Amino acid sequence: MAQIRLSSISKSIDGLHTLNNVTIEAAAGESVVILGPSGCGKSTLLNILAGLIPPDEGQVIIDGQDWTNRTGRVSYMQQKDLLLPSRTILDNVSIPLVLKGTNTKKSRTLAQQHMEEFGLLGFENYYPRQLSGGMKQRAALLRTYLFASDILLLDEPFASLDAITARKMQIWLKDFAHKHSCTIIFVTHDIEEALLLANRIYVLSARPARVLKEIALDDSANSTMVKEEILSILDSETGDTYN
Amino acid sequence: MKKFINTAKKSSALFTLGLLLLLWEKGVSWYEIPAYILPAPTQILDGLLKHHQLLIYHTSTTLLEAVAGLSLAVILALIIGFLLHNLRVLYTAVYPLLVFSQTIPLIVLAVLLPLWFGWGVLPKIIIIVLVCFFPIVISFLNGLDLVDPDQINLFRSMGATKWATFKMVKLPTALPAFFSGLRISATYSIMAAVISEWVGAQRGLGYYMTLQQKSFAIDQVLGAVVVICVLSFIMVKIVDLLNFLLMPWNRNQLVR
Ligand SMILES: Nc1ncnc2c1ncn2[C@@H]1O[C@H](COP(=O)(O)OP(=O)(O)OP(=O)(O)O)[C@@H](O)[C@H]1O
Ligand SMILES: [Mg+2]
Repeated sequence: MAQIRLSSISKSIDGLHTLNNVTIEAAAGESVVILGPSGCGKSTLLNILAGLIPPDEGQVIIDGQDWTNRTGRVSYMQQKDLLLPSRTILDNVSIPLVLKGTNTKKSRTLAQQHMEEFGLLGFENYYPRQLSGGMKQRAALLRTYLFASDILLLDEPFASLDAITARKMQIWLKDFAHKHSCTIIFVTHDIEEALLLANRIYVLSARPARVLKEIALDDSANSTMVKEEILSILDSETGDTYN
Repeated sequence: MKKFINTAKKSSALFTLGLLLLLWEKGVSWYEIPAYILPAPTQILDGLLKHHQLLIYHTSTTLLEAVAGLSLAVILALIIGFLLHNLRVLYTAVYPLLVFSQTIPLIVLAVLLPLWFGWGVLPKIIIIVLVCFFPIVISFLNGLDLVDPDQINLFRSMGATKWATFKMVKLPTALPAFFSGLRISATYSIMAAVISEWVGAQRGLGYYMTLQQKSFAIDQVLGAVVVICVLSFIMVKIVDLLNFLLMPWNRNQLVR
């Protein structure tokens, strides 16, 4: 059974029809990539999944429970690192623990145990502005992971990084997700990134977004052919709006 | 060498000041201007030293009023700012009045308040609070609005309470703006104290100046002015120090 199920989600924002009957599922431990053109409604979909905004129609089901318009179950990371400039890296990543009621000292100790795996060892007492872009995104990832380690929603987390750093982060994330068997919903408009990370890809249309195609990527899948397939789907659907 | 040039740049204002004082000194003696019209800088310094006990006595009152008034203004601005930011109804009902209140001439209040609250320190402190409150609350409110809505959303997605979000996200974001308002208010605080004392008091630098002016001791009046300038300067420096201590993440920017 699916751990996460977004069923028949529709949503208009300011009278703008954004999501059109979108159904997306993810099994436990699966990496699902949502691929779609800019402005199609991917972030809106994740906002609904995170419980930040209610859908007009449809439901969010996680572990068999209704989480529609309720926050606090899944962790969510956006393109911006959103680290607080006023806090050191260690205090930034321990925020989710503090918010859950753990005292500051214990939160720090717990967070400290993950610093090495996230490549942040030695930078605990630095402020965000003293870190490189890649490190800031890793800190944001760690903060996300410490909120809910089983389900991570990632909205173009590496879009602001240079190509080389982004590539490194993608490979690192793939290993990490495998090792800790996290369920990942990953939003991107980068096909290469999608192919690298996904067990399954949902291809969305331009706004109002609907699911054009669901592609499973097992080990036997030929990524060049899948890429061709995705491109042809998008070409026939949206013409020149894709980028 | 670079360091030397930097220090030279920093002290060039002091050099200008020195030059002006020298011109003043020489001009007064050249044109034989009597001390009851315009005393020379050295005469003012003489007066300062001679009457230092009396000056310390009056300065302590002024300083006490200013610090009390400014502190009250800060507390009030934080509370009112918090309320206005969180209650939009209150914001629309009160904010325009706050701006409007700034058009009331200070001097009229300085005259009227003693009629209602007597000639002690209370009306002085009220005036200082009224003067200092406004710049702080306005910049604090502006600072609170600078927060990235995505940052708020992130905290919401983590199930943070409104209070936790205010404390961890909004307050630190608003601090730099808050301090720039406080800096302005700190310069006003001493001035507001002196003006309210000038209108009517039994102690304080403003009162001292009216006394000396009536007996044509212009050197004493100007001596008090020097004290006022130094006090205002110290108040600003104290605010800068607080700024430095309370925002460790901003330090490099401050040094520049
Ligand atoms: N707060 C908002 N107010 C008004 N319109 C919005 C708001 N947020 C999003 N929209 C609109 O909704 C549509 C979907 O936005 P969304 O951010 O979900 O797209 P996206 O697929 O994430 O785009 P991108 O790839 O640029 O991140 C867009 O056309 C956008 O203009
Ligand atoms: Mg988006």
